[in-house]
This record gives sequence, C-alpha cells and structure tokens, in this order.
Amino acid sequence: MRPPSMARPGWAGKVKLPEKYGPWAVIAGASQGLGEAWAREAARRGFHVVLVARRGPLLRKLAAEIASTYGVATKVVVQDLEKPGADERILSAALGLDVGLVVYNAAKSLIGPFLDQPLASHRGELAVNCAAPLGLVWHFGRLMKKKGRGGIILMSSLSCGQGSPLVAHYAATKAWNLILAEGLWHEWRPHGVDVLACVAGTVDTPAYRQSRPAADMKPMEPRRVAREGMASLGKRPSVIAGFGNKLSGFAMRRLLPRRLAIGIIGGALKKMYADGPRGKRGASCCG
Amino acid sequence: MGTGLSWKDRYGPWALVAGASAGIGEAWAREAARRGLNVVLLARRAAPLRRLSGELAERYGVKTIVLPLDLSRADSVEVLARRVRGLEIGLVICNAAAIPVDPFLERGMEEHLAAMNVNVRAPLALAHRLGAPMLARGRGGMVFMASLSASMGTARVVHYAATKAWNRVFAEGLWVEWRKHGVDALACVAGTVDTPGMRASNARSMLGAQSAEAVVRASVAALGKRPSVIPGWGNRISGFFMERLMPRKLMIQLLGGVMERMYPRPDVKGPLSGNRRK
Ligand SMILES: NC(=O)c1ccc[n+]([C@@H]2O[C@H](COP(=O)([O-])OP(=O)(O)OC[C@H]3O[C@@H](n4cnc5c(N)ncnc54)[C@H](OP(=O)(O)O)[C@@H]3O)[C@@H](O)[C@H]2O)c1
Ligand SMILES: NC(=O)c1ccc[n+]([C@@H]2O[C@H](COP(=O)([O-])OP(=O)(O)OC[C@H]3O[C@@H](n4cnc5c(N)ncnc54)[C@H](OP(=O)(O)O)[C@@H]3O)[C@@H](O)[C@H]2O)c1
Repeated sequence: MRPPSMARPGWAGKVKLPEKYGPWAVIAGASQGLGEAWAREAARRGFHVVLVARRGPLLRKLAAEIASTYGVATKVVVQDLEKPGADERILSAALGLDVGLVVYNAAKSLIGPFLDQPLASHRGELAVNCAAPLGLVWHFGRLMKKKGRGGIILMSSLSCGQGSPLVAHYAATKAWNLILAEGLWHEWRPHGVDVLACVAGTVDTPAYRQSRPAADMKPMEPRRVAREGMASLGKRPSVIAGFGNKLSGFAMRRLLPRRLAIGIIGGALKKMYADGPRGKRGASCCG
Repeated sequence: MGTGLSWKDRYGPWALVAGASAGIGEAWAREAARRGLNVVLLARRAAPLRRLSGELAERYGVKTIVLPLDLSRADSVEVLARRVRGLEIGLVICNAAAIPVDPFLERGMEEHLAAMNVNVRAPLALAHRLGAPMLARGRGGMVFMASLSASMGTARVVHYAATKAWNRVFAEGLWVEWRKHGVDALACVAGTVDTPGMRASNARSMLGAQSAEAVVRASVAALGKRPSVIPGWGNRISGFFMERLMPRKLMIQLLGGVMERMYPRPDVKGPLSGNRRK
C-alpha cells in the first residue's frame, strides 16, 4: 500500500509520522483542552504545527511554548470555524506547507433541551461540528490522495452511540463525524491516506470543567486521549480512547437494547447537569 | 400521547411530507391522507406533487398544499415557514434526501454542502420551527429517515451515511426530550427500499428490497412507541449482526466491499472491486 522505503524505523523504533504523512500538522480547535493536547502530541511526534482557533493570544502563547519545547516550526491561524468559507481560508493559510496531518478537534456543544436554544445557535453548531470538517477533509484529503500519503483525525464522542437527550444535536453531529471518518478510512486506505475517528468519553478540559457537571464522571486526561488517538491512526477506522470507555462503549452499543442505552445515557446526563449546565460557553462534557 | 386520542387527533390536522414526489415520501403522503390528515406536499418537482395532490383530494377528501421547494437552498425552511404559517401541522416527515453514490472526492464541495443542507440542515430547522409549536400544543409526531448503511462508515456513500447517522441519533435524542411533552420523535432506519431513487442509483442488486408502503407501515406502528425502528425482520437481523456481533473494522471492510461491487467504478481502485471490470 505504501512504499516500504517510507517505513524507516526511527524514533522509539517506530515509523516517524511526519516522514510517513508529511511534515506539517493542522490542528483545528487548538487553543485549549484536547486541541492543545493534540498540538503538543503532534509536535512531540515531530510535526510542525498550524494552530487554528478564534483566540489568537492563546494560540500564540501555545505556539511559542511548543516551538521552544519541541523545536518545531509553528504557524497561527486565527479563524472562526463557524464562518462559511473557513475551510478555504485555512487552506490558503497553509498554502505551500506540505500538510501531512489534519486533526479536527473544534466543536461547539450546546447543552440543554434542543428547543431551549435558538435555531441560529444550532446552525452554528452544525457549521463548526460538520460543515467545517467536511470542507477541510475534502480539500486536504484531495491533496493527500494526490500525494499518496496523509492522515486525518476527526473527534467524535461516546454520546453518539445512541440518541442522547440534553445533547441531542451535539451527539448527532458527533455521529456524523464517526461515520464519515470510518467510511473515508475504507475509501482512502488504498491511496495511502489514513483516516480515524477518535471517540472520547469525558475529558478533563476547560470546557468540561466550566460546565461544572454535578456528577463526577472521572474524566480522562487530554494528553492520554491524544496519545491513544495518534497511535491508532492507520491501524483502525475508529478508536474509543480509554479502557473504561471501551468497556462502556461495548456495553452500550453491543449488549444493551438501544432503547435501554438511550435511557441510561439520558439518566446519566440528567444527573450530570442536574440544575442545567453552569458554564457560559458551550461545553462538551457528555462522555 | 393522550390516551383515547385518535391517530388523527394526535397527529393532525395537517401533515407535512418533505420529499413527497416519489418513493417513501409519496407513500407517507398517501398513508397520512388515508388516515384523514390534510397534507403539505414538498419536493422540488411540482408536476408529480400536483398529480399526487389531485389523487389524495379525490380519494380521501383531504386538503392538500403543493409546495415546490429546493431544500438544498440555505433559506428553504424560512420560505417553508412563511408558506405554512397558520396551519396546525401535527406530523412532519423529514424524508427528502440527496443521495450521491460515488467515491467521496468524485463529488465537488458544492454538492457535498447541498447534500448537507437537504439531509441535515433542513431536518434540523424543521425540528426547530415545527417542533416548537407541537410541544406547545402537547401533541404531534416527527419522523426522521435514517438508514442501515449509517450503522458504520460505508464506502461509496460515505457522506450520505454520515448524514443518516446524524438523523438517527438526533431523532433518538429528541424522542426522550419530547416524549414528556406528548410529542413523538422517531428514527426510521430503513434497509434497501424499492423506490425510484434506489432504482436510479443503478444498484447491481436490490436483494431483499422492501416496498415503500411496508416501511411506512412499520414506522406508523412504531411512532410513539420507540425511539427508532428498523422495518423488516431481515433488516433487523442484519442490523443486529452488523452492529452487535461483527468487529467494527471487519464490518466496514465487508460492507465497503459489498458497496464497491454494487456500484462498480472501473476507474476507481478499491481493495475488493479493484480491477474487476478492467
Ligand atoms: N471534553 C469532553 O469531555 C469531550 C468528550 C467527548 C468528545 N469531546 C470532543 O473533543 C473535542 C474537544 O473538546 P474540548 O472539551 O477540548 O473542547 P473545548 O475545551 O471547548 O475546546 C474547543 C477548542 O475548539 C476551538 N473552537 C471552538 N469553537 C470554535 C470556532 N467556532 N472556531 C474556531 N475554533 C473553535 C476552541 O478555541 P477558541 O475558543 O479559541 O476558538 C478550543 O480550542 C471536541 O470535538 C469534542 O466534541 C470532548
Ligand atoms: N430507498 C432506499 O433504499 C432507502 C434506504 C434507506 C433510507 N432511505 C431514506 O428514505 C428517504 C427517501 O428515499 P427514497 O428512496 O424514497 O428517495 P427518492 O425516491 O430519491 O425520493 C427522494 C425524495 O426527496 C425529494 N428531494 C430530493 N432532493 C430534494 C431537494 N433538494 N429539495 C426537496 N426535495 C428533495 C425528491 O423529490 P424531488 O426530486 O422532486 O425534489 C423525492 O421526493 C431518504 O431520506 C433516504 O435516505 C432510503
């Protein structure tokens, strides 16, 4: 499938990902939380990183830190992914860079009954969680396929294994990401392009903490999610990060009747947000 | 959900069927009219809608509105909302879909965005704009069309399958949220259905295809009783097998192979269909 010459053993006896895929990684939604962890993980693996999010100051600080810690090149792109055409602006910002890895991590997560939020907010959620990754996957995927190498990671969530009240729309967007990535995994594998859906349970991110869930969901460290995700790229179409999450994913998807699974996750989310989410910004903490 | 309410009282007086000009949507429009509901018929092509409208009025004596509208337009649901203002719509069938069958990159971004508008953005807006008044009235139903091909990633219909997964998970979430307000959401997870759309896709096999009427019957029976339904025993068994028994990676590969044989593209390399036709 891939020219064997690329599979040169390097760092820790493993294939160096920047050599396998191309030297630059684009991390969309990189300013905090899991996105920051993805950026560090990519740099640790030797990628130069393009950091995308809305808050420039956070990105610049992270870029400086990453450059000094890992000695890689960095580029900051301040961009609201909710805006139409965001994908094309990122593409042109990365013009001339040999992009080998794209991680789409940004998400808008509205918590609460579906009808409590205006339609415009839900359309924004769809734009950030689906339309923007669709565009980035299409544009960068095309370039990667032409070059015959590359990797793409889309973030999904355990909440999308079945319908999830209080995050009904968010969970649906995460199902979209899971199924899109898995389908592309199969289509692009013969062309040297690896696609992965990284399915997270609760992760200890600013968004998670800001939402101040009432119940302790034992969130995972972002760093561990990024490591497991990166290690799974090219090995499988999707990965559920964390052993406990794998178990509950197995039970929810394979053992329980769908209706019961919906009831259980509904109960858990209700308990988690007993008096409604308390964060100002939308948070994604829905396991 | 009020006990003793007739089907018509529960889901009437008006139904809106998106994608009513053919296939499953057409069957839904007939079923709603047969049960005494007035029907708003929506699709792009006005001619088949007008024919259907005449038939429904004559056979069942119900009122109909023909609403030719392209749901791939960004503002389509706003246009729709203006056109149906004042109507009490108690049943919404989100059935219209763009179904591009091709390797993902063979379709341009424009087309992918249009598919997202029809398959996701429109049902999202329908749920919001027409769901709110239903909850206020304390009754109603909304059906979202999903597909067995959305159980996992599926080659040849990669983006379509993702949009159908969205519909399934969305409907199931709403089912819980809306139930206590007397409104029934349902995901209809169909297998292969013998429709004009399916025939036009040039599938090499339509093995085990169901009729559109059978899919509608199963959905009517499930509405208000469960969050999602897979019409047909054969489909339920293969759904169980695909989702619960098979390792996911293997299943994606098998399904991908089936799709590549079903929709061969001589110029596109796939691991199984490869050079079969060369
Ligand atoms: N935390 C969890 O428990 C959990 C569980 C399952 C899945 N996930 C998934 O993991 C991913 C990251 O979650 P997280 O908890 O780390 O989220 P987070 O703390 O809210 O971080 C989201 C990141 O995306 C960026 N972002 C959000 N909206 C954006 C926009 N419109 N334009 C550009 N950038 C935007 C944010 O940066 P700016 O605000 O600076 O733009 C931030 O860097 C998401 O895809 C989420 O669905 C999280
Ligand atoms: N057939 C199957 O095997 C199968 C299997 C699983 C799920 N499904 C689902 O069942 C639903 C119906 O499928 P079907 O096979 O009956 O499809 P179909 O025969 O192709 O009919 C699709 C309907 O949607 C309308 N439509 C398409 N694009 C539209 C647009 N941009 N704006 C407004 N209306 C539009 C079409 O009318 P116009 O062309 O006049 O606009 C037509 O009435 C879809 O949601 C599909 O995903 C079908």
